[in-house]
Amino acid sequence: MSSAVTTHDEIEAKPHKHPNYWAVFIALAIITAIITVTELFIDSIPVPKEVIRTGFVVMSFIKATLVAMYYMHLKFDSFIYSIFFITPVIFALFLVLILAIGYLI
Amino acid sequence: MVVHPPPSLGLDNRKFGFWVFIASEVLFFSVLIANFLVLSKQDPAGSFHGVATGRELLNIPLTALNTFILLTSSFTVVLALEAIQKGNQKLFRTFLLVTLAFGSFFIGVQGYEYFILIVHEGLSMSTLFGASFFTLTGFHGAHVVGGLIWLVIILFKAFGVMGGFSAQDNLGIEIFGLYWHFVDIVWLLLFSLVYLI
Repeated sequence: MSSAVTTHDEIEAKPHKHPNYWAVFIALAIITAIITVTELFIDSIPVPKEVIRTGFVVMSFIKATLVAMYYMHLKFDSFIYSIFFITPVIFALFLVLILAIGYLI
Repeated sequence: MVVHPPPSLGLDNRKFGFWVFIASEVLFFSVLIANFLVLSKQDPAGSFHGVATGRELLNIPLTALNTFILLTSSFTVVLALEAIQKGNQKLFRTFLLVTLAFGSFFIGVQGYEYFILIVHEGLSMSTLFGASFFTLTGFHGAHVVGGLIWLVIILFKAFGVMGGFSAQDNLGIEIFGLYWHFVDIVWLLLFSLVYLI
């Protein structure tokens, strides 16, 4: 193949940075441990449960984001993949938020 | 000789197609989650053996352990990918086998959880909580089982039964990893939305 033309195989074969998978895993494990321990002792923590449970959801989203960015390589791959992942996530969040507002009203 | 032009996006068709599939899966699971959030709230308090809600029947420590197991299996998949990209076949196969073990353990624990809920706690599909809970977690479990079957096929190939993988030819592992990580992400969200809030 001519060097003037870049094929899709060559584009995908371009080396990209490899994250420190161990550091990401340790971060994920720590967040999981925090969530679990907090849930087990939730009755003895002097903070409203709604606040704590909102924190659980936020921490779970942080974990999901870490997996998507580093394990699924969205941080390093083409931005087009990120668009295909984030767009339905926005729709999903919108759906859940609409339902949540329906409960609050 | 026919020379094909490069694709306009400059992306591998197989990987791009799989991301489109994942996008559809995001919408699929978001509807199931929304379904659970609405229906599980509508069960009357005290309808399950005097406990306030169906959620109180769930075993959180066991499920937290299971969450950690699935998270670890995601980790071993990226380590397997990294190993094959470096051409380390032995480490690659080892991490795939560990992933299979963790994934099987996850399904085993989920089966045990279902057994306890159905046989001992009497949670049935005829309640709103039971129906939405089993539908949501069951579909996720089916995705894990599908991933395990895919992984067994990959293992056959990794051990040379149907060709093999190399530092230059490992896109199949990367695409499997995308699927497995997505299933992991779904579970991370399910764990907080179903078991914790």
